[in-house]
Formats: sequence, structure tokens, C-alpha cells
Amino acid sequence: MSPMFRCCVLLTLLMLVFACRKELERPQWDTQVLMPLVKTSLSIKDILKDTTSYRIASDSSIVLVYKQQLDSFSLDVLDTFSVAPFHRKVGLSSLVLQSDTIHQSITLGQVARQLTQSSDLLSRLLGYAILNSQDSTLDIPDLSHLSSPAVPIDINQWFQSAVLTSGTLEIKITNNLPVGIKNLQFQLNNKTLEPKLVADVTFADIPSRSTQTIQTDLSGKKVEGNLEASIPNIDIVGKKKVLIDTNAALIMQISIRDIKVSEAHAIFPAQNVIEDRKEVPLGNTNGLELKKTILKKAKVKIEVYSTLPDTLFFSYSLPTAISPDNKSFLAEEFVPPGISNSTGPTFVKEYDFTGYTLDLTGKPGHDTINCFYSDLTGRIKQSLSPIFLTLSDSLDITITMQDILPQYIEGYIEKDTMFSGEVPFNVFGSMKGGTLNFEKVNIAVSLKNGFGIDGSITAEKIETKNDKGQTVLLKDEALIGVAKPIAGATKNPYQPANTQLGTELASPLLSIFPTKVSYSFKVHAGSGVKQYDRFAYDFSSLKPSLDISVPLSLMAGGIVLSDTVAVSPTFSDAIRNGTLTLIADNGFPLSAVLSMYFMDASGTITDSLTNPQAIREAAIDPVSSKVKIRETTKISYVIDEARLHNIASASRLLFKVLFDTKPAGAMVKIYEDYTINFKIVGDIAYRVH
Amino acid sequence: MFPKKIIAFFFLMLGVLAFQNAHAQLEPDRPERQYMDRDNVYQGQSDAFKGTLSLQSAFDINSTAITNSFLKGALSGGFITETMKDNVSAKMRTSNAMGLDFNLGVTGTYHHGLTTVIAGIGHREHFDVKFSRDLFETAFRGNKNYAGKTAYLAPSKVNYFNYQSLYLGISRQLTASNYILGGGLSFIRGGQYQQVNIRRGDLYTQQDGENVQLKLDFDMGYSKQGAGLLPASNGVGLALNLNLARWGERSRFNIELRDLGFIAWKNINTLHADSTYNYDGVEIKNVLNYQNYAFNGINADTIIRQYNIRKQVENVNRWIPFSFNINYTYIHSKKLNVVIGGKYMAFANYAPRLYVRTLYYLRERFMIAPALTYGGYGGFNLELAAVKSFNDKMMLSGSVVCLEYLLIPSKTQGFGMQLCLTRIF
Repeated sequence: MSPMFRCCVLLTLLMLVFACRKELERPQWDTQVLMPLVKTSLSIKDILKDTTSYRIASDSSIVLVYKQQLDSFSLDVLDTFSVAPFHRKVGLSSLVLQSDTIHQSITLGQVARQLTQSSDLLSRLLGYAILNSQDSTLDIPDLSHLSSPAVPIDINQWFQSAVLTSGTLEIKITNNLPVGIKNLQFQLNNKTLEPKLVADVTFADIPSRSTQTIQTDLSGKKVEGNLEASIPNIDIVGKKKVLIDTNAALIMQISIRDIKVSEAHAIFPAQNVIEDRKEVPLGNTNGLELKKTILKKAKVKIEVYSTLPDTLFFSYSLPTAISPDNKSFLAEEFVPPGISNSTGPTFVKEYDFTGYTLDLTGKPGHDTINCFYSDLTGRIKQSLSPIFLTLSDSLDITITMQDILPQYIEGYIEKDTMFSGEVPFNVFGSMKGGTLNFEKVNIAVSLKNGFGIDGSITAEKIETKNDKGQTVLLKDEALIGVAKPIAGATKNPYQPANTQLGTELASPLLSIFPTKVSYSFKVHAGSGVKQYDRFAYDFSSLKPSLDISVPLSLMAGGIVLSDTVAVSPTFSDAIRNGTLTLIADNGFPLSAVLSMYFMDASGTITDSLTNPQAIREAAIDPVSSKVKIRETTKISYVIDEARLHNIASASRLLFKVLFDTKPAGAMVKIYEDYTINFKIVGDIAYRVH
Repeated sequence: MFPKKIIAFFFLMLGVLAFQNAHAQLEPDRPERQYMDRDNVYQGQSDAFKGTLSLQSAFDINSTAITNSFLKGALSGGFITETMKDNVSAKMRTSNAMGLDFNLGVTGTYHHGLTTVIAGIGHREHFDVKFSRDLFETAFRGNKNYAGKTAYLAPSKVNYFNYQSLYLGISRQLTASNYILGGGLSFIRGGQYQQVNIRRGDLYTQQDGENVQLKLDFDMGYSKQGAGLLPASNGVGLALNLNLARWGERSRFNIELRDLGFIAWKNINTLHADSTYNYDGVEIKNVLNYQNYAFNGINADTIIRQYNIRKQVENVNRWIPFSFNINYTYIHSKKLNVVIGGKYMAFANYAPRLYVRTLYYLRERFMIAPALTYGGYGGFNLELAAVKSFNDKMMLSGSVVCLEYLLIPSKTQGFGMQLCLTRIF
């Protein structure tokens, strides 16, 4: 190793030792710092915090205002509104069958031939004479007890069988024979159906060349499509020199008209089989007499059970239910032929009824209440093949209004409602102990009536309570138990009505530091006169609020204002100890003793800053009755290292201020410009790092 | 940060050393310079070498009042006791000073005939402070002692900067004379810069502490902080060196002007205030809701805004504290020389420094040089230096100012050290 190299190494090491000294570390030393730390100013507004909790009186004094919204309540006039399901079992009101006229004639030749078959010789001879005297004259004697055999009449094109509830059989006989007829008995019989006789009529006298008509009622008759018409007796009035025309005939025109049946196996013509128009009453109106409602939300559900073997076309309309687009409600549907042994409805459908205005005065022109008018019509089309229908066939229809949520009702509304409750009274939340008296207390109940119904309200009870169970009942004859009128909201424009009832009194109501106010009111909706223009919206409510205002003119003794707040002091560890001096520049006529207690997380008090010395009150000027000159007090708190540690470790701070109004025994009024200024000056041993 | 940068810079220069033949300033008050003057080696009288390469460093801290024990506590992270403060207070005058210098450099010379070319690189840290008694008392004892009185914090100044320089110079023996004239130019890279000048600082504390008032007229400037091997560059500058030497049969005379120049600092944050500030506590708007009050919202910026202190970023030109050295050597014998000299550093709160140094050669190539100094940033100090040459090829020199520190640190001020290793070619 050369000397040069050794020297280089040596120098390098020396330089490294020189350069690699310790990182410059921060020295420490103690100083004594005297300086203001924090300052603040408190006015009564700062103490009250919430600007809604007070107001400034005309003389600049403070008035505590407590306004507590009580629970709004409804008159339950909309909540219980409902419509009972509308259930109708509608039978076929009528069944109408088609009808026509049947013509049947008996010629003179046929009569003559029938005479030739007679057992009576003279009759047979006359028969032959007539048959042989065509276009010649012949003297025809009186003939009695002639008859005609039954002639089949087929009316199957009308019905195969029917039980008639009504109907008329008309037999019109035109006598074109050259002789007159007497005692013509006409019978119409079922061919097979018992009883066979359908009709039996007798024409007493039908002169030649004349027409006679007889109508007979077929009500209750059973008639089949295969009929037989017969003439069991006919008497001929004799006449001399009768020009014989064997084609001359006795013409019978048989008509069955106005047929209504209770059952029939037939091809029915198109016809309305159901027509039902009714006023449907509401259910659960709870004494309300309503004329109108607007539905915010509703559904109409139609369920139909049909026994008809044919498709039934029906329409259900509510002519007085008007949709938002100004159309009346109409449901036109059809019900398929009923399925026997089916348990479910033949037809089900729901209709949105939202926004409909429902006139509840019943049938148009009928000024009733709580009813709406419905029109149900059932119709069948002409059947293509014979079907069997009876009047016992029915349409069982159920119409249900579901999920009804009225938006508006109108009518006569009369109702009593009680409401009561308890609300927190947090004005004195952090005050405890001592005595407190206010010069006067104003208590009022404000009502905002959103119903278009006038009425009255009666304060049954107003009571204050505190956490110790003490209560003070408000006894004021001007307020308690007296019904006060309530105005109703106006409709156009809609404007809720405000009503206030209140009283001012020197009451001990607040002397117990209440934490709650309980109340009970009775509201009577309605004036007792049946006026149908009262209304309510779904958003209508009666909003009561309790208003208590207290002019801050008070007499307090030994009142403890106490509160616990979470703290997390972050003192620099440079602070060793010191003395904190509280400099209070007091503009209130109150004296106060301040104590602070520091607690750990479990609530155990670990240290405190207390000093029995009071912050002195400012004197009240006897002329102006206000504070004119402020009072300064200095109070010191010694903080050693242990206390500093305890404060720094605290999780919560409990502070108590014990204050008295001065002079004692006199009411002291607090003005908005009263303030107290605090400043904390620290004389601190501070270790500088 | 400070020592780490020094270490890094040191190694960097060791690396540079292998490739460069550079040189920085020649300082006539340094003992190795005086040693070399004996043999006129430096003046080129000898034909035995062509040049030198030196690695040198110097550290010096001193104060007119701040004692060594106080400084030790302040710099080493110790606790400054009341006794320490009392010792300092006992030395306090109306105006006091403290300064710190650290230099590290590599210098090379090349001789050719009567001409010597000099080149080098260097790093310089400088800190000085001028402060009033009240400033010290307030800072280290608090303001309570001034309750009901005014503490005068001004005039006070603080300067701190560092820079790196590249030096090029030339000296030449005047023909047929015993004069050498030299000069050089330093190209400067400015590093950190901080400056405070309190022209007026009257701090009044109300008797009960309810109010504190400060009448303040001050300027402050500081460069942005940088990170990395080298301090961030915040400016450039130039400096001039001039020197003149004369020698005779029994005497030598040196005069030198060093670092006469400036640095153009860029983007310097400057603060200025001239106003009266009252402080009567942090206001809590609503003490009943104090949890929402953000004490931690108070910082330098909020104070600047609150007290209307003007703040701007600007470029500033500043003189470099330059020094003027002068000395005279009386050659009593080959073994004993006596040097008297003085030094003054401008723009640095520096008082003229005088010294008397004895050069005594214990052996042919080993010299010791005790000295007594007065002035500068301190008072009287004793310095002990030694120089050893190895076969005229290598020279090691050093000096320390540490006797006071070692013997009675609580009553004395000043500590310093120099080291130099020179290779002679």
C-alpha cells in the first residue's frame, strides 16, 4: 500500500467522519408564553341558536317562541269511502219468438165431398148435387153438424216447442162460399204434446161473402211446432138458387202474434234479453251524504256468470261517471255461451277508473245522494239453429270497484273527531334545578284547515310534564272546554283556512321545566246545516300547531344550565402546564358560576376546571331598566401537567353554568343587544421542539 | 438534508477528482498555504513539481453570544437549559451575530514557467444571523417576561444560501520581481436561498396577556425546496477572485479579494409586511357549536391572508458575501514564522476578524501553527493547525478551533475545523 493511497484513505475517512455527523435534530427548550388564546361573544341569539325559537319584541326584548306542529289528522271522510260490490243476478226479462200467418182454405167442393161421405142420405145426396151443379143453381137447404177433418199445420219454422207466457191466436175466416155459415167451431191442437188443445173458438154466424175474426189468448199454453187445425162443427144456412162454384172456399187465416215465451226450443230473433237500469248506493259512507267524487285511483272489475247457451252481448254503462277526457264510462263486451259445471266466471275484466268523476246524485235528473246510476243491457243475436232458452236462464253479474282512492268528495259532511297526543317541549332541554318564573306565557293553538268544511274545535286539555313526572294542567276558562269556530277552506281558488285560538296568562305552566306537552282536542266538522257544497281533497288535512310564546322577562334562581358534549382535545404535547384566565365581560343582568367536568369514554369524571368565583352580573340602570355598564370578571384555572393529560384524554365535557337573575326577586327582561364576551388568556409553559 | 447532501457531494467530487485537474480559490489564511509559502513552492520557485491537486474542506461556526454548549444543544437535538440560556444572555449585547460556513472543494494547479493555472470546483454553505437581545429572549424564554413591556425584535437578519462553483484562474509572477498577481472567475450554480430582514419588530404584550401587538416591518425570501443528489438549482451567478502576493527575504505579504460577485436567484418567494398587528385570540364565532370550529384551518397561508402580508414570486439578485483577506508573515528563522492578518466578509453580518499565527517547524516537513483570532462571528478564539509533508509528494494539513469547546463550552463560542490533502506532482 503506497503512502499516497494510505493518505487518500485517511483523508477520506476523516472527511466521512466530519460529514457523517448526526442528522440535525430539533432542540428543545422551555418558554413561558402569555397570550390570548380564544375569544368569543355570546348574545341571547347565540344561546338560543335556532332563529325560529325566538322573536324580537318591539322594545327589542326577546320573546321565546315555541311552535310545535302537532300531528295532522284526517276527518276520515276519504279513507273510508268505498263502494259495495254491485251484484246482480239478472234473468231473461223476455223471450220473443217470431210469428207469421198461416192460411188454410176449405172449398165448397171439399164440403160437398165430405157430404157424400155422410151417413145421412140427404146429406150424401146434397153432396152429389153440389158436385154436379157446377156453374148452375141449386137450392141448398140448411145443413147442420157438418165437420171438417183435422188439417196439419206446421209452424216448426217458428219454434219446435214453447211455453207461452203471452201470445194471441187470431183466426180470421173469410166466407167466400155462396151460403152463410153458422156455429163454426175451430180447434187448434198439438199433434203430440199434451194437453193437445191449444185453442177452441166458435164463429156464430158468418154470412156469405163476409169475414169474421176471433182472437184467443194463448198465455200459459204449451205449443209445439206440429199443430192440427180442425172444424168439429159447421152449420150451413140454406139458400134458394145458389150458383154453385165448387172452388168457392172458406178461407181461414191463422195468426199467432205477440208471442212471449217462458221457455222455448226455437230460433230466437235478435233481441234484448236483459235491461237493468238502477241507482247503485255506495257502501260505508259513514253518514256522509255525497253528491260527487273524483277518483284518484280505482278499478272496475266486471265478473259475469252466464247460463245462456248462446253468446250474450252486454253493455254496462255508468252515464254519470265521466272520464278525464269527458266521456261516460261504457263497457261493451260479450259473454260466451255458459259452460255447465263451470265454477269460474264466464267473463272477467278490469277497467281503469282513474280520474273519473262520479256523480252520486243517482239517475240523471234525480237529485239523490250516495248513488250512482248504472245501465246494464244484455242482447242476443238471432240464432242460426234452434236453441233452448228459458226465462230461468240468467246473467249473474258482479261489478266491483276496487282500490278506490278518492281524490275529492263533495256533499254534506258532518263528523266529530277527537285527537290527542304528546309532543316534546325542548325549550329547557339543558336547564335543571332552581326556580324559574316568567312574567307571562302566551299559549295558542293554530289550525290550518284544508277541508272545505267549517266546524269547531274545543281544547279539552293542555298539560305540561317534566321528566320527574310533575305536571301542570292549563286551567283557563277562555280556552279550555270552549268550542271555537273553524272556517273551512275555499274551493276556487283552493285556500286552506287558518284559525287561531289562544290566551295569555301568568301560568306556572313552564315553572317545572317541562319536557313534554300533552294535549287533547275535539273537532266537530260540519255546521249542523245540510249544505251539500262541502268538500274535501285527498290532501286535505287539519294541521294544528301549538304556539307558546314567552317574553324573556323572568326571575331565575339557581338555574343550572348543563350539557354534555363530545370532545377530542388535541393539545400539543409542547404545552407543559399553565394558567388559563377567563376574562368575562358581562352585559347580562345574570351572575353565573362556570364549571367544567372532563369525562372519559365510560362517563367517569377524570378532572374538572372549577372556580367558585362567579361571573358578576351587569347592573340594571334604574332609569332605563336596561344594562348600561358591563361588568368584567377574571377567573383563573390552574392546569398542571396531570390535569392537562386528563383533559387531553377526555372524551366528553360536562359543563354546568349556575346562574341567577339579579337583582334577586325581581323580574329581569332580556334584550337582544345583551352580550357577554369571553376571552381565555393562557400563561403557558410551552416546550419548543 | 444538510449532511446527506454534503456526503453526496463529497463522493461526487471524489469521482470528479479522477478526471479533472481543477482548482478553487487559494486562501492565504489557510495554514497549508502558509506552509507552502515557506518553500515558495506555490510561487513556482521550485523546479521539483509541475502542479498540485488538493481536496479541502472547512467548517466554522461562531457567535458573539451563543455559547458552544447552547449550540451543541441546538444542533444536536438536546435540551437547552435555563443555565445555557443564562450564559448566552450574559453575553448578549444589543445586537448579536452568529454565522456558519462550510466549504468543500477540489483544486488543481499547473505551473508552467512563471505562470500558474488554477481550476477547481467547490460547494459552499453559508448561514449568518444578526439578532437583537429581545429576539433571543422572546424566542427562548417566551414573551411572559415582557408583560407590560415591548420586546424589540429588530434589527435582525438571517441569511442562508448554498451554491456550487466552477473556478478558473491564473496567476503569474511578474517578471524580474517578487510579486505575484492572480485572478479568476467562478461560475456559480445557486442552490438554496433564504433571507429574512426584520427592520422593525416591536412586540408588545399587555400586562394581563389579553392582547399582543406586533409592529412589524420585514422582508423575507426563500427559494423552493428541491430533492435529489444536488440541491435544486435556483439561480446562476458569477464571482471574481483577485490576489496579490509579495515576498522578501524575511517577509511575505498576501492580499486577496474572494467571491466578489452575485447570484441571480429565480422564482424566489418573497414576503413583505410593514404594519401593526393586534392579536387578541382566535375568534370562535359560536362557542356553543365549537366542535365545528376548525383550528387546524390556521396555517401559514391563512396568516398571510389575515394579516395582509404581501406575498409574491420574483427573481432577485443578491451579492454573495465576499471576503477580503490580508496578512503579513515575518520570517524569524527557518523554524519560526509569525503571521498577522485580517479578514472581512461583506453582506454577511460579519465583523472584521484579526489573527496572529505562529508557524513553528518541529521538523523539516512538519509544522504546527497555533493562532489567536478575534472577530468574525465570535470573539477571541484559539486555533491550532498542523501541516505534514510526505516526501514532498503528499501533504496533509488541518486545523481546529475546539479548545474552548472542549474546556469551557458553556462560557465560550466558536468551533471550526479545516482539512486539506494535497498531492504534489
